[in-house]
Amino acid sequence: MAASSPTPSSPPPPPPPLLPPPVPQSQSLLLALASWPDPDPRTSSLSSLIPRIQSERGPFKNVTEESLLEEIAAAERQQHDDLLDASKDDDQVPPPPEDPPNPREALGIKRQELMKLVEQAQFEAMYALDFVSLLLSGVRPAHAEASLSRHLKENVPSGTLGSEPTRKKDLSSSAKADSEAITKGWRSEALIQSAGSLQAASSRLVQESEREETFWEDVLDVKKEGWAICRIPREPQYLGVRFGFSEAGADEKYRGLGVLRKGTDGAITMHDLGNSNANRNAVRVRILRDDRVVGTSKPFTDDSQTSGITGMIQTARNYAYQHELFLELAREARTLANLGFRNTDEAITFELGSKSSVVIDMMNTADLSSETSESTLDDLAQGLSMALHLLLSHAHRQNLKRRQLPPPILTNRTPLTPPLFLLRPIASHLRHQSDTDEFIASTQKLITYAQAADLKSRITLARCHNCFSKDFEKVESAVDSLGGFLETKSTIVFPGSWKIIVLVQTVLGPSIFGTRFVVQTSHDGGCATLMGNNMFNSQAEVQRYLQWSLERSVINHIQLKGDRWTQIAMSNEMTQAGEQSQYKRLRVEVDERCLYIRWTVGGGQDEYYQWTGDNGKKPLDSLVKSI
Amino acid sequence: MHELTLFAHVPTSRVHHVERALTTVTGMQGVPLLEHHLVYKPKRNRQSVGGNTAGNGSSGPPNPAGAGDFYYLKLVTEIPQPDDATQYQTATSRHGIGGSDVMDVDSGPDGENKANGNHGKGTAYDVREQRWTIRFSDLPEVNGKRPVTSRMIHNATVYDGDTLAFVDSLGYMLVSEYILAGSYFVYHNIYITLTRTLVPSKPLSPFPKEALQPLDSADANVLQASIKVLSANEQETMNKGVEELKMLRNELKGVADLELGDRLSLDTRVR
Repeated sequence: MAASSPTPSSPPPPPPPLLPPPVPQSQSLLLALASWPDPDPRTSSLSSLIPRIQSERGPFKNVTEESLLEEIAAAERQQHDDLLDASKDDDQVPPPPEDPPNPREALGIKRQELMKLVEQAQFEAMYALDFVSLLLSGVRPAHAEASLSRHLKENVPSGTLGSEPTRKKDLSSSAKADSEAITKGWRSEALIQSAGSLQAASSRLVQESEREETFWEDVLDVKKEGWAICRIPREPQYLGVRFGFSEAGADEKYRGLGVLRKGTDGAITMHDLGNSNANRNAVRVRILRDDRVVGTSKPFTDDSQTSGITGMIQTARNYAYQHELFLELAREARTLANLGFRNTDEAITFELGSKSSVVIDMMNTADLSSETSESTLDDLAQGLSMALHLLLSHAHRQNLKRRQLPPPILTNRTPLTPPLFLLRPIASHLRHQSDTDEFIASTQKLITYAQAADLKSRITLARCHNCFSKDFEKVESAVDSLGGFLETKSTIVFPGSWKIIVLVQTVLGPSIFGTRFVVQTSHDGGCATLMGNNMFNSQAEVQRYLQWSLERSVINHIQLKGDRWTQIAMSNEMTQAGEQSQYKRLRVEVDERCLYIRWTVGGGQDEYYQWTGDNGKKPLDSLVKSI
Repeated sequence: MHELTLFAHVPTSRVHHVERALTTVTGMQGVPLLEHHLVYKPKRNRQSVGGNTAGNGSSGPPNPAGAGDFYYLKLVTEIPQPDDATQYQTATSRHGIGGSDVMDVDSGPDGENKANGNHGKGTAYDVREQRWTIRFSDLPEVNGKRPVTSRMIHNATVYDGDTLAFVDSLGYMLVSEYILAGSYFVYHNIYITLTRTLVPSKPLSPFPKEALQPLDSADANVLQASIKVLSANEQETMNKGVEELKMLRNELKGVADLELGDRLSLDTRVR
């Protein structure tokens, strides 16, 4: 506004450049006798100027300072040219401008004028508003009074202004035809428009109905597959599908609720509420030996590539299951530190022996294929992973059964949810296996010593089989047996008709908390024995007992072979009655390295002979005879 | 222990409908229920004691308001269902063949108490060998505020020995017996039974089942929804129980109208 004002504020005698210059008028060469007309005060007033400027060059917002400056420069050039022309003509010299008012002053005046105009416009608008409001207040008082000015509200009762359509005087026939034509035109235009919009609407509806149809067909498919369709608590406008396991604990993390949404083409998609799609991890079991992976379980096959809503739901279900499995495993592992479980680095580690361990962690299924291992123990890892899955399903089933029992008494104590039995059955199996193996290995050594001495000795084993031998009546009892009491029965036959039955029992729970060995010994009665069931809680103890038994059994064997030797009390020593110089004494000893006998004749130097399990040794019988 | 209860009367024609509604609401199939109830009362009558409270000391907890009152006592046991054994087998065979996910209903809430050598043979039911629960129920509380019947109850399960002889030695005599037959459901903490009352033809013998006569000639069923609360002093827990029952009542609105039991008809005092 400020930039535009200098241009029109040129003094009256030279008309503003917007007006047609007087030059063309002078070209008619008519002399006007009347006095030079005073410029119409309205033409230079702001109120007429502004609309004119606007009509000529559009709204003020398009006017920039640069454009105005350019224009001024152009106008000056023009004026200059004109002046040159005029000096050539020397005919009409435009009167020099009378003292132009101070531009600043003029600007102030104009500004005031403008303000006045604006105020006036405001008043007029207010009057118009008041008028319309008052008129409307007869029809919709509440609505109209909101825009009624206070003054009017106080002084004029609302609804006092009425209106009535005025009937026009009879129009001329041409005007009538005109207005009729205009009416028709408008009407046809409106009809065309509404027809178009109706058509658009109908096509949109057709599209929409197609979308709805595909959506509901998909929903029906989901329903047919047996998924539970339900409402979403927080989004009532959507349908949801419950894909989680209803027995999967009260934790909301496992809830497994998905929203069924409609795509733009009506295709159904499911949005998992609980887990984001990023949480696509599966439980992985690895066996480590000497910090190297020697076995990895195969992840469950992620069929998320399969299209279709049911595939989508199934995948979400599978991942929810994996997620729950891992959380439950971690929860159980936290309570099992005493059994060698460690919860570190988002993985559960379970020491199998001194060097090998089982590591259970979550792995993104996409990354799994990239890793390769030596895969010697893949089967074990896969078996463990399978067993964990089975046990979780079993826990779900047990939970369902429990929920059907009459409820417990209500108290304000929140019942504790103990961790599920997932790791313990597996750990006890692994423990049992390794303990049995260790036991067998060390017992086998004793037997090879005895066999090297040409003594009859053997071990037979009835391994704990809880999966194959029994006739299972139900699936549940099969899985139950996985978590039960583990017992391996081994029968050891030592020379001298000794028979030792060792039951290797493992329970990772109260009363045993590990592996124990229950030993029963029987023989022909010629020797000392521990009667009844003897419990040993460690490998060392039971091995020491077996060594002790082997000593006695060898003594027994010698006694049975040659009647000249007699056992000293119940010890591992024997004597042969005879003359003083022929006094013979013999001792049988067994330790973890060898079986050896030590003998002395007539109080002379000790001699000994040992069997370490190598072949080509003297048989014990002939050695004893030779003494 | 406190018991919060709501009752509803279910005519025979509606039993099936109500059962289906319960199945939907609770998400489980009804578990068959067959209970033998024996009702005992003290041998001596009230006048002979003359306000001596020692007489009922053993029957129930001290009740200052009704000191000197005598209360009925009830023995309850689960009757092993004669088709248990066969049902078990069919259940397993079903598992073997189809591996279906049918809910197994082979064992009741405490299956082990039927392992006393008589299942499969109804006639072998020995009333003295059963594992009985001695049940004492107090008169329902006068309480207009709670929209449920609430009363104190005490249960004592006898695990070993002849309970009938024991109750007899306490000075109680058998006055009547009945059999509750129907099914039960579990909904959160609510134990819901839908039962009808039968009367055995021979005393103390629920078998053969065909000879049981309905007590009500119209053979109507009673729907009972109850919650056991450890202590009435735990206001929060009581409220929670009441809320749960109210929720169930709303769920079953229009199917069965659960309401308060009539206090006087639930009176357990000997008149």
